[in-house]
Amino acid sequence: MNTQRKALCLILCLPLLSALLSGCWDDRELNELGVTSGSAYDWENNEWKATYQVINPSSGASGMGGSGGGSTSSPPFVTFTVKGRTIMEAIERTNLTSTREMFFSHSRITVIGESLAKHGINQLIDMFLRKQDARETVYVFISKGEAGDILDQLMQLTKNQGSGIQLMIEQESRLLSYYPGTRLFELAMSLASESGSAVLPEILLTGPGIMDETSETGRTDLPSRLALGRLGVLKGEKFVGWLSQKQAFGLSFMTDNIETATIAFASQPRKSDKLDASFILQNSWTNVHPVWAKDHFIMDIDIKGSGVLTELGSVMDLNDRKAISEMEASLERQVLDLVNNSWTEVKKLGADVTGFAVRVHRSDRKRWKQIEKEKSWDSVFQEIEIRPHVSFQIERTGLSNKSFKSVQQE
Amino acid sequence: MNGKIGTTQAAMLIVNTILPTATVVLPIIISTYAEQDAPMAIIMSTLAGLLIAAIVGTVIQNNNGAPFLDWVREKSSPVVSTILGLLMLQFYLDTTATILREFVNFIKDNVLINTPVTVLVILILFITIYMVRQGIESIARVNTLVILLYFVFVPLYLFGLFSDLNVHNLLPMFDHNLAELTLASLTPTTWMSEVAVLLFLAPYLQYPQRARIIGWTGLLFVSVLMMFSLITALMVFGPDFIKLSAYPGFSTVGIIRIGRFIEKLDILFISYWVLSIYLKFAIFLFVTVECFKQTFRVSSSRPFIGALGLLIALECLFTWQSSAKLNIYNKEGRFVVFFLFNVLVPLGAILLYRVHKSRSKRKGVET
Repeated sequence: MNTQRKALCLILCLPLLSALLSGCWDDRELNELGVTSGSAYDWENNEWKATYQVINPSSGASGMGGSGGGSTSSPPFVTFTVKGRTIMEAIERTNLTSTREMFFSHSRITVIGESLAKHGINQLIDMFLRKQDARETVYVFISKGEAGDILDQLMQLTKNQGSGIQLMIEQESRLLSYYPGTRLFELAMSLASESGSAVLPEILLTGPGIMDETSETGRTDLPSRLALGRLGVLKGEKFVGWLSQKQAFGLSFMTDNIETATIAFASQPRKSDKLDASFILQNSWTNVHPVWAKDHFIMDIDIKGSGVLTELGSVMDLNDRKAISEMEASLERQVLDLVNNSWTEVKKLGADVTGFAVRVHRSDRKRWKQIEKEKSWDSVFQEIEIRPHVSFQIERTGLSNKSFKSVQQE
Repeated sequence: MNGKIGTTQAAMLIVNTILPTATVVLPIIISTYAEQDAPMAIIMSTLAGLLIAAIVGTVIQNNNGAPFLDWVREKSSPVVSTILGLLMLQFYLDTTATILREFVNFIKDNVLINTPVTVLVILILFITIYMVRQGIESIARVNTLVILLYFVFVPLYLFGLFSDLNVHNLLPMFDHNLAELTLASLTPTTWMSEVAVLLFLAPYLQYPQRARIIGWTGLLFVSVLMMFSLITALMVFGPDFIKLSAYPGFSTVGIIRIGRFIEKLDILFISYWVLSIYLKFAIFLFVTVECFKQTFRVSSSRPFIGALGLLIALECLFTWQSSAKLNIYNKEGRFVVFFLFNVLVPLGAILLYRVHKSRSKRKGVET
């Protein structure tokens, strides 16, 4: 009987446990939250201009992707643009226009306008690292014009634009390796490191207009799309210039940020400079070794890699080892050009996005301490000479031993 | 209610006596001074901790697990024991209050931002008083279960962070001089010295003669886990970024991502941390109550647990209101206080034992 009474008591007490789930003073109802998937920041008239992209829960499955079915004129997200003397003041002002409280924990991307990047981004990074619901794992981008415009653009194939851009940059760094995606904590790490410089991928609109109406995305070929562009370079907290995609690619080789990459090259450089072959670099390693040469540093950059030939436009027998060696040499020259070209531009910008300062600190502590004491890294950096050595191996040539052109000629 | 606890259980209690607040407070202090050489500071503090554990273990061996203050009373005088008891009671009240404050600060910073501190303190206190009333044996059993959960959390943590771990962030090694490393290891040493709670847990040890082993095992486990937490945080964030973060260990958890579907695991790890800090707080409240019991020679401490809890709550709410003050105390003041009570008191006890022993030998020769 006693056991039965105890069991009954326990059963009656169990619902009381739900009271503990309320979160005390911090309870938040899901239907009162505006879940942001992206944010953008500009600097305008000495004020912060912030744009927030809030997922629209009332938007049904439209023709913009997924399994489709049904249609609605309601956009998948809405944006709010607010201004304030501080970022938090701007965020709080969204409550003047929105029915929902901003909730940043599910943010995927942050876009920084060039105007803000030139003004300085320290305060923005500080806010992200300090605020409880801000995510330091958001991917950060830079845009040439107004950052807020980027968030207005609808995407095809995905409804959640923030998440779509995240997928784009992850895919790019995995398959193209022009530049790695930069998450906010990585940006902060780079700026706080010995180098004090960082890079941010550019995000842009390919056309002049912004596709911000759901009806406009019903077309097969949008006149304006979101795309990844150049690589923005920051020094200290400020924007100092751009690297083209080619230069960014060279930088990826220098900084060992290559996952997989496709390189176009001339298969018979002695006959023609025409880029008529493609090679997928599947494995790549870069080893940077600083050497002090009396009055300046020499960076020995060893780049090694291997992969597979995927395209060939010249007459060639791939069973001939000499032909393969010739192609490997051509590939190596191609990458050497990329690296040298990138280094020239980086040096011109005077921002150590190569991470050479970190390498010097790790390999030559005494000299680094002296450089740090004299605060002379900028001048030491300008004196650096690079010596890149590239060694690539074509491991496989695909499913064909001869080029189609050679078969045709035979 | 207070049964005896085994050697392994006691060693595990030592782990959770030190680790929960150590993982939150120490990384920022150690990395400020030692940066990527932080593991060296942990090694140095562990060595100091092992020495303290040896001293505490020797005291327990000498008194054969008797209540510490009763033994002091027996070997010296009731006045000495009462004064020492009062001072130690003050020390444990302060320490327990700071633990409660660290607990509340962390919860308020990370999870319950709008909930008033007083409500959090009262809730935590009620739960902990209940735990202490169940006795040290129950606390030890729950503690064992909580420690076993490491077998779930450590692999999850490593697996989720694997792609972000960069061993080069630990370079250059030995970049800091001995003075900087010593400064970095001072505060962790104070945490390691918390092994001295064994003095008050001794009456509940099944084998008090193994107190040294208990202390050493617990400290080595703490050292390994601290090292693991710091090294992974350093490998992910590097020595410069780690100084920016108030809770580097938890910032590391924040970036865990498995595939595209498991992320934002902070709350899972925070929940686990809350489990372990409850145990730490319960152990210290238990030790405070035990110290009170021995000082005032009361037979049952149960009626006083609530009163002592209230004192701790008030100190937590009003003395440690400012987190800056608590940070400075942790960084600069704690070492002196902990050295006094966790090192000098046990050393004094050994001295007392030796003097008493030589006196009784002399008396034996005279008679």
